[in-house]
Amino acid sequence: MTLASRLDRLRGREWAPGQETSCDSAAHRALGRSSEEGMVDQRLAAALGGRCPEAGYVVTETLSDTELTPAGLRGLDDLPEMQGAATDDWVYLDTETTGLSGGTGTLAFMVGVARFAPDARLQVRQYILARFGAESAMLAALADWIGDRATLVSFNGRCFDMPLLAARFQLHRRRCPLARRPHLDLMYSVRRAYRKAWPDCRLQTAEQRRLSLNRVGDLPGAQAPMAWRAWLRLQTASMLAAVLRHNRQDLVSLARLHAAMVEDFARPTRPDVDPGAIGQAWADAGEPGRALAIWSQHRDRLDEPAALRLAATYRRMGRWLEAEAVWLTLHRRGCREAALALSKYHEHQRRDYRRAIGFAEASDHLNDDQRRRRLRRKLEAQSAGPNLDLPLMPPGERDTIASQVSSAVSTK
Amino acid sequence: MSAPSSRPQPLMQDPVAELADRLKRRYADRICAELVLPAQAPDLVDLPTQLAPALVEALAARGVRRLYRHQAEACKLAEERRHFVVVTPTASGKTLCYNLPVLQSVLEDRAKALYLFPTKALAQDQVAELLELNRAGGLGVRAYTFDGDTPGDARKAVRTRGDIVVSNPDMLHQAILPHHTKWAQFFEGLRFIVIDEMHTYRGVFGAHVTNLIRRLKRVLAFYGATPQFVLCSATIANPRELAGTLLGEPVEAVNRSGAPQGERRLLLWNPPVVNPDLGLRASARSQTHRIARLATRSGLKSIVFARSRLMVEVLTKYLKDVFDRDPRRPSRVFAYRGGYLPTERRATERRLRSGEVDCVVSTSALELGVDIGSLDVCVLNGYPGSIAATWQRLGRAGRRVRSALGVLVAGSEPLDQYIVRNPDFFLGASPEHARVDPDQLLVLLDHVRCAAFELPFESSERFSGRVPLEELLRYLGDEGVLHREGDCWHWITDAYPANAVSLRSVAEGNFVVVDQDRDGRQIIAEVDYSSAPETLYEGAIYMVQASPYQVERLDWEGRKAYVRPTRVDYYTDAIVYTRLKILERFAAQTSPDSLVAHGEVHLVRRFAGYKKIRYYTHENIGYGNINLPDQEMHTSAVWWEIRPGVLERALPSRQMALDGFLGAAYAMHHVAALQSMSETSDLGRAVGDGDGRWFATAGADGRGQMRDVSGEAMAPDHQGAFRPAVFLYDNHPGGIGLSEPLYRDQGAVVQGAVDLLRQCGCRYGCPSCVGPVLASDEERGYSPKALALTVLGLFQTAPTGCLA
Repeated sequence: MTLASRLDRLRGREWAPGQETSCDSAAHRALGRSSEEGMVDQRLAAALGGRCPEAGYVVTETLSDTELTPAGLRGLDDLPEMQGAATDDWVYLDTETTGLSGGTGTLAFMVGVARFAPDARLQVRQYILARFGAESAMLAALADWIGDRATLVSFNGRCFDMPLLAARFQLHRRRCPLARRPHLDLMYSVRRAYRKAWPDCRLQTAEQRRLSLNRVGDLPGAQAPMAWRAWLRLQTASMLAAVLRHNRQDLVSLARLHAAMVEDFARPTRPDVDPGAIGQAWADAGEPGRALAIWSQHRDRLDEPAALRLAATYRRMGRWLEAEAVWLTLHRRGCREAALALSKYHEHQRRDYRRAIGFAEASDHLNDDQRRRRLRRKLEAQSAGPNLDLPLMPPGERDTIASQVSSAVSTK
Repeated sequence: MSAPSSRPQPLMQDPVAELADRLKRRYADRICAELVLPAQAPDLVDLPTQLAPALVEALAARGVRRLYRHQAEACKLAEERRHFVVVTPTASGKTLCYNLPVLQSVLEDRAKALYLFPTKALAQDQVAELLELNRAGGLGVRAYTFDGDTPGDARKAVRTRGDIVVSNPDMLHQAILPHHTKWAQFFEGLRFIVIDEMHTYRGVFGAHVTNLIRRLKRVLAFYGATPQFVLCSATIANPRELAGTLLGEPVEAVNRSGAPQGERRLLLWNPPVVNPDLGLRASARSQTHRIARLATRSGLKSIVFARSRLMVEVLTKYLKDVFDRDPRRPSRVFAYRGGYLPTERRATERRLRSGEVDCVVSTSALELGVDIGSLDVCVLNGYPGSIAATWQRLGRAGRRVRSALGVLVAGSEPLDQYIVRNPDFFLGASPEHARVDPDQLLVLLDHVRCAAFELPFESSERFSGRVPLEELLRYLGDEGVLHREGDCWHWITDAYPANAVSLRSVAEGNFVVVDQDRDGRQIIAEVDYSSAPETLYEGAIYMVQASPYQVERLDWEGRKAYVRPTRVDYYTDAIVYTRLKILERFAAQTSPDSLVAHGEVHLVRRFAGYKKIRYYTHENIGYGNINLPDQEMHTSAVWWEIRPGVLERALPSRQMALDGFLGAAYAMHHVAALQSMSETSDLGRAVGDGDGRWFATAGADGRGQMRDVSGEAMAPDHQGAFRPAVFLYDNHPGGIGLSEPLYRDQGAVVQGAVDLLRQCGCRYGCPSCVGPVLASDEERGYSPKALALTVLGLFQTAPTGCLA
């Protein structure tokens, strides 16, 4: 009994090996015998419309329209993650891999990279492996093209493409030049801006909802591994050509999405953008002024936590009336935290204990009983003696609020 | 770590010795033999001169100024850069044997070390100990555990900053090797790999771990690292051989302990005969209970080892009935076994260390080096199946420098009886050889897949010793898993093979036991896949800390058993039928009377029903049905047949033949387990026709019963052809390499069974030779024992031919 049939039997499988596989490998063996590797490379290059700069991999180059203008390319670094990173060499990157599970057994058989040309068209360059043996050379060429000034832009590259490429460089005992480059992963920006409104934040969803792009006849990403296997086994390139188109489209979308994110983070006016999260992103990036401007400008669209943060910012700046206005709006919507804040505000700033008690009742805070007792005590003392605690805010101040708000907005 | 101690021996009578004397006085007729291992003085040598000053200071701060001889020997072998295995008793300061060289190399060269322990708990103990030494000397060595509990954001720090990474084989298999590029820096600096509790890596687990080490060495070679291996083991006969098999390289052994040892006594205890005619003895359980009760009453701390989870629960219940009757007082008796939730096990370990537990009842789960503090008495309820496991368990008492008592209570099984009747065998014999067959095909194939994922294979590479790698690669190529390019085989599918391979036998997933009364749904235990059908069938009584729960519903697909606390006075025991079909005969020897063969079989296990057994009286009070799918597996087996004409002449009735075969199988099974140094549960036995048409079991009346495929009883005389055979098979899918050596040595198996029967004092047969025989058997007019001897005699005739 052969080893193979013993194994089949031990594994409880049917005796005869699958028809398809044996055909596959027979076809492959025939091809492997008859065709020189160089010819195979050339066939792949021809099928994909590329060339073979070195043995074993193919490079394609295309220019794609992005619907952007050269002026639109300026200020692409105006995103919270990019604060302080002066850069103008954006390189968009997307890989197609043999699997999604990661680990050293997964490789990128196609790496697409792209840069803007001065006319705002996208110069797309794609590397496609014709066989395993050429991976090292392909990675070297890729690293050369990316260069050492680039800022990488990806979608979920931080957790997927980058570690995967780093592993591949490591396996070929090459220094990974990508690991040290600045990296903008647009997935995080998309998530911040749209998580609340969209069912998910995949690139395809962003394309449809933000770029109004619907792909037609696109190969589902999950079929990519199969396309390369088909090439390796049967040397049919048709599926691979579809993956190439898919990858190119990903890169174009990536570039357009980058510009769209810059726009959304500067002016979160689209109805599905969450201005609260955008403002928070700026606040986290050390730009409280921009955060305040965005929050105050879109205060009607803020959710409760963001509105509370806006009010807290006002409070810290001593802009009490604006804070009060936000709290009041929230309180009317039934927000207990706002009621508590109002209670504190009336107790300590306005010394209006009657109203403070009213808000304390509306809030349902743990310390309420204590707070209410204290407020009642203060109220009794106040009404017993002469009223020395005058409201701290001069009556005329209310009129200046409008001008303050507008100045806050115009800081950006 | 145990520092050499110079504590003076107390002058007053030692309570342990007092208990031993009392047992000997009262139960002289039950004690077959006594072994006294005298106290041993420490054998100390000076610290090696090359030891880093900081390390010398750290040792001094922990009270260590000189080393035991074996520790110094280990340091010397480490210095010579040779692989070595340390085999010294529990608590002999084994860990210093590797910690010293490792710390030295970290301090001197900033070298890295990887420690592998079989379980997470042991790994955590180890890091705690390293950290103590580290703190004591301000060494600044970074030791981290890397296991399933390590949070994602801490993993990078472990990889890049850890000097010593403490992990387990499962993590190496699933997380480290498949992502080895992330560990490049660590591997490049790796100087030592420490594998503790090596003796646990035998059987299937050992085969997996051996292949895992092959994979590790491939990856290390990629990074140009050639670290030194240091292994530690409990006492086994062949530590060098096992270590050599695991590593695939020669290994030195350090096996003379220089650590001091308190006096240890071991009593071999045979329960009294209660029915001389049938050779029936009182149960081991009743004796174990009695000894543990006496020990606890004498104020001694004891540990009781039982062979099954069920027996742990039964014994715990009996002891709790005595010592934990008052629910307002803290419990004195605890159970410990696999299947309890990790938190519960940790809590029991903590109580043991702090001395709050007077008696702990455990399965082999506490056999490993989990720190449980010091205990005085160890009672073994039945022979653990191997001499190595016996010593390992006995070692749990008297860990420190004080005397200890061990009692081995024999059960009625043939192995137990053989041991207590031939104490010289036990006391004189070396412990068993631990066996590993790393080239077991299915295991090998699994790891070749994983290895191919980690690094492409070259056709000329060597991976397994026996099986040609290229054939396996071609097989995986035909499956579409690998792709050949020139002389290189690359992983090509969208899969992560390590996820599909579990190092610990079957990977079908654990069952959780859900208590429906507590908060609606609370998980109270876990049960592994292979034992689930025997313990979680609907109607089963499942016990946790001796509290009975009844299984109300088993969700086989969802791997859940829904239970409810219950109050019953019985426990349940499953009835399992096994039938076999021969798939392929690899080799056979024939004689004029019989045939012995070795090959592959298909095995179906059916869970026919269960018995309800009343506590204390152990009478059978009813039956229930089990509705579960049959369990199937392919494995290898050795079997014995008698030529039809010969059989009919020797044993006139088929009923007699069945009884003879069953008796012979019973004895051969036990002898074979002893011979192949495996546990009886790793080796299965069955009697049937080899076509899967019928099989035989001992019925409720103790007589052999022929059953068909569906388990229905058949009348033996009304069948056509009748060719019974005795099968002994590897009780794991794909086999673990037990049956092949048994085939080669088959004469010794049969001869051993004949000796066992002849030496047994019973008249008609008893549980100690041919299996349980009922009183009514005397009325049969023939003795099952004589029938079994007839069958064995026919198996024994000299082989005259060989069939391929």
